[in-house]
Amino acid sequence: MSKARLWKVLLVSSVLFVFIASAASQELQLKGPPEPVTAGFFQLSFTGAENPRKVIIQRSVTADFTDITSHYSPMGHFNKLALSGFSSGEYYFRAQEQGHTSNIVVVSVQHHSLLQAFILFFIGAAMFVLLVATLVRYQLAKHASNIRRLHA
Amino acid sequence: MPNSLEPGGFALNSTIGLSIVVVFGIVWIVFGWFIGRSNKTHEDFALAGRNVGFAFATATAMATWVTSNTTLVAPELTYQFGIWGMVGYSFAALGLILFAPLSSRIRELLPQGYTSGDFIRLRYGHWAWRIFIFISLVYAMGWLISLGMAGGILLQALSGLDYHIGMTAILFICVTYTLFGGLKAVIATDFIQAIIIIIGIVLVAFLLLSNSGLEPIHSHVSVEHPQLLSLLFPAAIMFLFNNVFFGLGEIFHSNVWWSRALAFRKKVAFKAFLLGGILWLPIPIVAGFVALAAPQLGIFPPSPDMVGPSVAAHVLGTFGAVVVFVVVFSALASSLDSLLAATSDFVTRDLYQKHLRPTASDTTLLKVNRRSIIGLGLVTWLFCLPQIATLGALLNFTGAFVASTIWPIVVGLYNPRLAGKWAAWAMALGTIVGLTFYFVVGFYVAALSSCAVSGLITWLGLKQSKTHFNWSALNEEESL
Repeated sequence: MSKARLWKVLLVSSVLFVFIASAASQELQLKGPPEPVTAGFFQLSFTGAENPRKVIIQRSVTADFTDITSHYSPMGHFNKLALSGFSSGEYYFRAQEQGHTSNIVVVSVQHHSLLQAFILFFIGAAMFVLLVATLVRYQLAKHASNIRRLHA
Repeated sequence: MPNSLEPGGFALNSTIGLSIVVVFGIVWIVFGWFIGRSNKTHEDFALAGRNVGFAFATATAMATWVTSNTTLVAPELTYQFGIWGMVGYSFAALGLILFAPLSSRIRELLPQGYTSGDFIRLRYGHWAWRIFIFISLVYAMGWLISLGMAGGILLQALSGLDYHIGMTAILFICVTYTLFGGLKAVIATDFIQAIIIIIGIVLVAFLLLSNSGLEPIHSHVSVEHPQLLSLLFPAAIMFLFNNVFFGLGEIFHSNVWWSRALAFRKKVAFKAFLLGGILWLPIPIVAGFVALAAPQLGIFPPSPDMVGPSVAAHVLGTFGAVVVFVVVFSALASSLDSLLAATSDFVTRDLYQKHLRPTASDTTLLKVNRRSIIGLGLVTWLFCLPQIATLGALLNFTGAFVASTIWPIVVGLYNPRLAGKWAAWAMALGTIVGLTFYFVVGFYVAALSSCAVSGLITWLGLKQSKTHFNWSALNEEESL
């Protein structure tokens, strides 16, 4: 193959590559949290939508989406939305825009254990009581010392 | 249900949003200039002549604490943590209430003091002071950035105006009027802003309840987002006391509150902080409640910190959006100006005067103070440009720092036996452990863990103590 012909092949291949890559990037893609969610709230985002205002996110409890439990529309022209208040479990999401459907995102919600939460709660409560008691004790001592000084 | 959304799905068009900012901006700047004409000395500028009366003192305590924290982050945390989010947030009032006795003690011990740094330097020495300066500056910058971001988020959520324009506008306005008026202008504008905030929030809550009703919100949330109504929500339970200690740490250490304690008239500080805290208590509950209506209304914001204004504007239409806008804008301005004034005092006093020019004249200090305000405004603007985190996450990051100061400050103000090296270790190790928990467990445990470790070291310090601090050393004679 001559050098000029080789350059032509390379050029055409590059143009084709860029075209295919840009076409692929136009596909509706949904992204969710990669790690299990421990507090029940997370963010979903999508790319490749022609008009973000027409995108609807669907939620299902099964991967085949035979039973769609909820629909969410992002606000304004934003391409992400924040969801919250989910109990522990696995949730399946996908985005749809005028017949186009995105990939499926599985969000795993695994709340912290209640034991861990209550241990921290009681540590906090004990420390708060201690702090208030310390302040009251110091204030009373200061008050008593002021009275002593007045009488002296 | 009134719902007059503009094209693009926003409650206001961007021209109206920007016009409100410009009108308010001009009013605050002219007011700041008018008030600031009587500032003659650095003490006038930094501490309003140490002569603030009860009404202004209460209003500034309440209005400064009603900030992006309350008007944007309370709904954000309610959206994330449900019932516990708003109740837990209202517990931050305990910071103001418990600061009431500390403020009278501060006024008594430091009659010539300027900043919280003065107390740490004189009470604990240079090591603890430098760690404290670092903590204070991280917190001040975190809060300043969150306030600048909140301005941008507010305008974007209500009118779709570019985040950078809103953020730049609010920073420019607050820097300018603080520059002209100093603490006097800050406290005077806080008084007016407090009135606007109280009337506005009550109006929004009333209109929301009469338009939407509680029942539809409750049934939708209990089915679709059940954790928001659960009292056994693990992360929210962890968050509860974390938020209490975060609030305590913010108020106990920050020069925003120390400068007020030093600026209020004698015997005014205690009553003003107490009443300010009680008035503040219901505000996060009212502000946070609107977030629970979001799922039922089909509002799913891109970021949880946009939920409050978005819901209010959606339900109440253009009029509601204008009310929300004015309230949140006033709340942001009242905090941003206070923080700019207090942090510039801190930079002038603790960094410039005490580190670089101990003999600086009053005129020089006034000049440096004003330049610090401009510098802080610029640095904040640069950090706000990339929207690095949500408001809640950014603020709670600083919780790991500030909660470590609670015990050293409380004990240091009353107990002469705690030595400086123990206070320094308590703040340093508390912060390190708090940050570790922030990254390993979550933002909702950072302050709690920081305060626990700091408290333990403070207690060890008292047990080991052989020192007895002489209180009169805090009364530093000044010739400014």
